[in-house]
Amino acid sequence: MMRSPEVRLFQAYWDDGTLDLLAGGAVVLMGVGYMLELFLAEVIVLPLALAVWAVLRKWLVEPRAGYVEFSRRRRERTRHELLATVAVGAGVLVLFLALVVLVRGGTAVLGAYVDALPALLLALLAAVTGMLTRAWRFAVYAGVLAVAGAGTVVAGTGPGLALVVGGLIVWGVGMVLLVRFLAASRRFEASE
Amino acid sequence: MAPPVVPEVDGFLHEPARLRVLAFLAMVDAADFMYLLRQTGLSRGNLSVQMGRMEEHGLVRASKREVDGRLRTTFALTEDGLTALRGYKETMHRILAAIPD
Repeated sequence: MMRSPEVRLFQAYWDDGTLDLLAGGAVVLMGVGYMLELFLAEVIVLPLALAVWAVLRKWLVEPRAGYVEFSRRRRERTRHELLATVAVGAGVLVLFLALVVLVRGGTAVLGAYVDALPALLLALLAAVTGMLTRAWRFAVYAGVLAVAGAGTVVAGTGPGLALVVGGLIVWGVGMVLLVRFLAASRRFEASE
Repeated sequence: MAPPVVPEVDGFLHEPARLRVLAFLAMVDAADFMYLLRQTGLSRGNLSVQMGRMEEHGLVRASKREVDGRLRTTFALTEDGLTALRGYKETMHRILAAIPD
């Protein structure tokens, strides 16, 4: 199905790769945090990445891509979707813990799956980001992180490695997109 | 007198560069010059001339405001611009409908 021009314009807004780069880098750092047992990193890395992304967007992307304010309808829709998905995400987490701890009973079952939980939650976050930005590659990242999370349960490597591997893939795609964006900007400036 | 079967097109809006810019501005609340330059593929000189002419016609409005400590000029479609664009769309629908398959 052909997407509307407004949706394609909104999607293109996220195609510079900075969000992927920062999100991927944050996931790698979270993985390293797990490996080195620096659990403070899990808490601060994502908000920090978001703040750095806003700065990077302003100083690197906007001077080249320009500035746009999307329609109020689009902004309100994004806000509503964000609130809804945060609620759904929290519900899924509570449900997951309830099922594991209460229904299937016992910490042994929780122990088997708990290593996958960080990657699965980040996969959920990636899926939400994909929905909010309409950049569907984030749905692919969600799949990568989910598979990496499942891999930790099978391989018993702990959550850190899954995050490092998944994060590196996201970071790599972000780097490719950013290099392409900067090259396209250079070509555009040269043609002016 | 009955209205013409094939309506007359607004010649000012029908110009490809202007129509392209107006269509972009109809999708967003506001955009700066660089964004329109990148999205429309027009040359800097052409876009500058077209923005000036559309502003004179009251179709777009330029606003200067400070965002993050920097003075930013953004362009937005005016109410008259939106009305004119909708009228143009309706006219084109009627003209295209007159063309047999």
